[in-house]
Amino acid sequence: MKLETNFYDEAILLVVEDQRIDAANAIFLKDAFAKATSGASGRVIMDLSSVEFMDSSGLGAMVAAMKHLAGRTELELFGLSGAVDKVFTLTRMNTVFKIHADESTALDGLTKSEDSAVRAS
Amino acid sequence: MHPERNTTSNNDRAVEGTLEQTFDGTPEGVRRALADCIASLRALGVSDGQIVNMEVVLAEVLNNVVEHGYADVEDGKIFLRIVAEDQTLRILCRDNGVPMPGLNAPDPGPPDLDVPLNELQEGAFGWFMIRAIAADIKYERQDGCNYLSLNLGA
Repeated sequence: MKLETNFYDEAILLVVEDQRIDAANAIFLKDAFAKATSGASGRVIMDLSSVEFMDSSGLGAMVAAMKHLAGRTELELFGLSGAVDKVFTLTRMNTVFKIHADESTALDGLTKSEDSAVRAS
Repeated sequence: MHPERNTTSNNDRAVEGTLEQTFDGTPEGVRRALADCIASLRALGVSDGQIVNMEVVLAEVLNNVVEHGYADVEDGKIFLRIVAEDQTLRILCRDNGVPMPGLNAPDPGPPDLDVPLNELQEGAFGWFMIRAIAADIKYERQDGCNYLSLNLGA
């Protein structure tokens, strides 16, 4: 599971690079998410634009990821399309996660951190 | 394993054909079979909306076989047939894993979202989604095999 981490002042943006979050790789999402968000403060935003398909295991991993934040902040998402959008809508998980219409709405008002290179290493 | 495809078409809108394949009951086998099926259904001219429904339903059906039916079986195989006729896609899935609990296809109902965050369920979404999308769901146990059939409308 590849998560590219981008640092903003008061937020991190996690870009999921896999095209699928399914039974074959969902277990890796939780670990990758925990690693990427450890020590982070502020908002946590996930870009799912590259994800073409998600099954119930993938959805379960997303719920686990949100629980990992332990209510410190919401897990915000954007870039849901096709089957991903369908899975969130059917289960009404779209009411549990904060879902933004697009990237510009999700990142509105945020500035990239100047020391992002150091913190990303 | 390549799906067999017989396409007959009386007009440009008719989507007809039969796909059949047998594959390993493993997460990787399911991933490949799904990709093959979806590509074949696209080639048959199945609509984008029906493709999304098919991929969601098929993934849940096949993953359930791998995770439950073949939980303790290493070399299990899954046979899948999809018949496209008029506006309906008929799915038949056969495996020889353990029977479904109570010899019934599960019906867990929608997830309970009205709970504290740390109690939110992380599983049991699969059968809820299958039942929300598919119709005419039939499960039979015969001669040591599980037969699950379901239909997807337009």
